[in-house]
Amino acid sequence: MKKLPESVKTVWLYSAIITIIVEIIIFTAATIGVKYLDWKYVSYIPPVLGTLLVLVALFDMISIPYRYAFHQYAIHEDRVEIKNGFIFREQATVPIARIQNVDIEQGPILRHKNLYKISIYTSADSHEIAAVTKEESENIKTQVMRLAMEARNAR
Amino acid sequence: MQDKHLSPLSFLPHYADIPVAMFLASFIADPIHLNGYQLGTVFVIITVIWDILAYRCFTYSIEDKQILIKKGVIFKKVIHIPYARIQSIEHSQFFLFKPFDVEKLQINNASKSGSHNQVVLSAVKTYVGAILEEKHKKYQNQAVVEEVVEHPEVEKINDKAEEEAIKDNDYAQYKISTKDIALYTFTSFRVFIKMLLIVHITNGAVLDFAISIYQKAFGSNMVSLIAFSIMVIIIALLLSFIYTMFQFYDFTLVKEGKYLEYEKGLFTRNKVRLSTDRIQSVLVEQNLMGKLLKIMTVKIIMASDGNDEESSQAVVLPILNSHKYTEMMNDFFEWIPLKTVEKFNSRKRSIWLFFRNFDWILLIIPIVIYFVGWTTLSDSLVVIGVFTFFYTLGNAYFKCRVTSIGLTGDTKDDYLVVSNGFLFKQRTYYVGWHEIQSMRFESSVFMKKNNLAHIVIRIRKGDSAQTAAVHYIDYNGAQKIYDWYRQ
Repeated sequence: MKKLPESVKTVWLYSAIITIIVEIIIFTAATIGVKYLDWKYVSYIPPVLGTLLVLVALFDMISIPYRYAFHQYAIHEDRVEIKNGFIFREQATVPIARIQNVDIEQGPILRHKNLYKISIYTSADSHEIAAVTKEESENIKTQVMRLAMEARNAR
Repeated sequence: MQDKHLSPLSFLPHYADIPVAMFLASFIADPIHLNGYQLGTVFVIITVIWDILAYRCFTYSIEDKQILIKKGVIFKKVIHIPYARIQSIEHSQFFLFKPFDVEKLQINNASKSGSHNQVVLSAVKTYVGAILEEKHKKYQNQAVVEEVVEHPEVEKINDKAEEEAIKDNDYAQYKISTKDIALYTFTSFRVFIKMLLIVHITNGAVLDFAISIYQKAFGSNMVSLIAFSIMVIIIALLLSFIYTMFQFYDFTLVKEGKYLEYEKGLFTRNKVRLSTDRIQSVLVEQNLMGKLLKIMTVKIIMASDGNDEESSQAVVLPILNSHKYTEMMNDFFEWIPLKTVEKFNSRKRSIWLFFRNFDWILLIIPIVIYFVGWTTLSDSLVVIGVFTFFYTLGNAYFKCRVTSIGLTGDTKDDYLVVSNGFLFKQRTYYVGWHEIQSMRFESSVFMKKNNLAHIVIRIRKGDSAQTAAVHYIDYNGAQKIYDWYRQ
């Protein structure tokens, strides 16, 4: 089982901070805006909802080391495995022969750290590896697609 | 056949465009101060011209290895479908098409790009369908032959197995009887769901109407109210019966060698023929009524380009008696081993867990009453609460009873039997190793302490996924299933 690169923690931290800032701005504006309207009860909605969302984002931020420690993946000859979480444990297995395509994506924060997100698609669903380095992403892509071709031809 | 046009009958289903155009015109005409009728006429003319252009631009060619479709008035599009890629061909014949020997063909090739790539020949002569079926069959067999050349040893074994299978199960047929249609209608709760939906969509207008009729005709005492309710239910059941009758009129399921073919419908006749190895999963459904009467419904789940109920899932045996279960399943789905070697049921403790997962919502009621105080609303809240309590308790018990996961063996050619319950309906999926797209194993720290785990599998259905899950089964059992899948 492989772990994600260490720098993914920074990526998650940045994205959590950005989420929190954006949420604070939006909900402060909404709270002020709603104050000028003369609606009963409605004026409570933005601050309460905003606080909840910010708390969720804060929790996400605090739980980064935990998420990092338990997000693992492995690429075997015949299957891809992804593990997640410790308190709520999840393991998923996708046989290589079921894989239809592999997508490599990169958002602005990932680009800053030179990381890539990998999505593995079967004909029914998709599975994600949150971040890998550039060489690793190329490796995964070629390995998975080669194995997928072999597996399909063998059947 | 090169660049053939569709039959002119394909204009027939477009009649609906005309009222739509009129409606649109009346909508637009008012604010811009134009005569609604004149604008409507212009719109209709535009629609008709557009339809004619679309018809002129749509051609299909049946070539040696593929079917080629050209379409698009402004943006031209050419679609190639190799015969080997076709999953199934759906024929449907509207009764007005019948005298002209014309039918609609829908070609499923299981791409994942959504419905815009769905290939429909809306009106062609029936012989076109026959040619396509022939080619489809030929190319499917050819694919098998190619494989055989590569692996000569495997071929012999396969051949033998297949020969035997053909001897045993060359032909099987099922025809529905009116009694079965009636049973099918009356044992499902679909009628009531539909009634609820109608009441919901019309914002209760239908309900108000019914009540006003009732008040005019009967006055208002308890006995007549009950009588009226029963009458409404009977009428709804009858309507639903007639509807199902139209749909399942003369339903026939035929199994011929490696092919399954079903045909149904009165006004629009639907016919689908598919190779049995294209079936993603066989699903057996049984609700509470079905359990009492010992009957069930068998469906197949298929891969297709559309996500509609019709093309992704088909009822193949609407009514199947429990005592005929093994026999019928062996006749039609002989490749599915029915006997499970290993089976893991939901744990007793799961009754409480299923109950807990839904019923915490009830806690809201005392909280609301505490804050708002006891009002007339609280009475009905308590009634709803008590009802929900018993309903979810029953549901939890039912879920625990029916949840199980089993294996028919431990090789890759074996089947997983996933059985779960939701709202008093048991669903049992028979899925082969090769048809499971992915498997997830879930267990929290607390669940592990109690030796519990979930297994969630994904199957291809239509152009997306069907999730089949079993909750709160034995941890080691779940681990065994997961290991079987990981082999």
